Amino acid sequence: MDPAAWCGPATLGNDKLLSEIHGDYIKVGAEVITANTYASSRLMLEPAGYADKVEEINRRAVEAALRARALTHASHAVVVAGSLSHMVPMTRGSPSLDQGKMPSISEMSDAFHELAQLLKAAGAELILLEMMYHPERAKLAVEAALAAGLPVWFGLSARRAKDGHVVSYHRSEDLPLDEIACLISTTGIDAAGPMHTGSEVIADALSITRKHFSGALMAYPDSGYFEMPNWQFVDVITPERFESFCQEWIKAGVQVLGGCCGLTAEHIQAAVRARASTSNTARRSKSQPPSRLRPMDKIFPGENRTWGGGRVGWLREALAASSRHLPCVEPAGHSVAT
Amino acid sequence: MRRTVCFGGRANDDVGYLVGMARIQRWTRQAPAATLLPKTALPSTDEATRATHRYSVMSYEVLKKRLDAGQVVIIDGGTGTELQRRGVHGSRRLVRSCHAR
Repeated sequence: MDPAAWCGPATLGNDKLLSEIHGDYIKVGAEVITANTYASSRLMLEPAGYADKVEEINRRAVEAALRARALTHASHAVVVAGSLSHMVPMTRGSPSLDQGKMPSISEMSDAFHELAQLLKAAGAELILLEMMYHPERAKLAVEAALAAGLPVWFGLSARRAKDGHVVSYHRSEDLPLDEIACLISTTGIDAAGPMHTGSEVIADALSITRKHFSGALMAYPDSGYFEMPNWQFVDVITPERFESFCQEWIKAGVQVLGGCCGLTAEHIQAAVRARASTSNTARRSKSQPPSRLRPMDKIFPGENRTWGGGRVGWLREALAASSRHLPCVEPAGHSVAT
Repeated sequence: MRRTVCFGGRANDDVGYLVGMARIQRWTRQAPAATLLPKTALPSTDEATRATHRYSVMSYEVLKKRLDAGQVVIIDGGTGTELQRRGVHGSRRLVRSCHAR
């Protein structure tokens, strides 16, 4: 990847491959695809020598996503999102910011507004604010995204501090995640939640997000780590493990589910499976008790049984009834008189 | 506001892929997000043109309604890291077939 601008300039000359990647995600069930514009604001492209290609890079990235949607024979429909981050130049070979290239507040604001407008003009239908972890920069990004007039989703990034608390992803200090989550506006943002965050941190980050946001929760973790200019695919979570995390997140109320850096189409396929299995479980538990308990109906036919009280309540009731009908059987935990 | 767009117009005409894409580009700059193609825009014998005709757009409003109804929506995975994983390194792209993988 580009040593100064990571994946932004990679759009040039790789339009077809980008469309293939988007297409692969659509084929496994992605309903929102994200254009490769995470690192293509002027803040990143100008120091890398692409100042005159900011418009072209972002337009071609969105077009690659639109083309993938047009050419993929998907059984479901798809929304194209443009990614907008507050990424600033980083020091090569490290995850740290390049302090010598830090732009001013006004430069950042201008760059975010420019990118939001470019995404809209290119055909993006949604702005996905990604990796919000710095309060000042995140605020500017939110303002720019909302000013574009497109729907906005807010992705915040978190990490676990040495004391075990979940804090903002900010590397140089342990900022409370509340400082980021409180930026999620009450109007204009339709979904919010942790992304580019380790799977084991997501649940805590969701709780903090929920304190500040009552809309749809989202979760799409990363796996591996970043060292400018490349992602390190180290200890990447298996699709099976990811699936079990997804099931937990859905139970916790997450409605937008997917993956970030390091996660592939196989992981998205796992998320689709998790959604299917979780909704099946929800449907079954709503309509009837678990099937393996149903034979009790045959033991006591004709009894007017209510299923309220959940599985344990039903079991207790059944066992109590069984002790009435069959004196030798008692509920669990009771000793049998000898 | 809902707007219908028909690429090509006539079935089996000679509207090529590039023309179709140019129209997509022009259209996406003008059109609001909520757009659906009518089924009457189909079909065309040219694969790319047919794909363009099949340009089914899930209006964001539909997605939002699903979220409001409590449904789970699936978003994609990494894009930049996937470019890297498939052989793009800096300005040069390693010759590696994704299909071979």
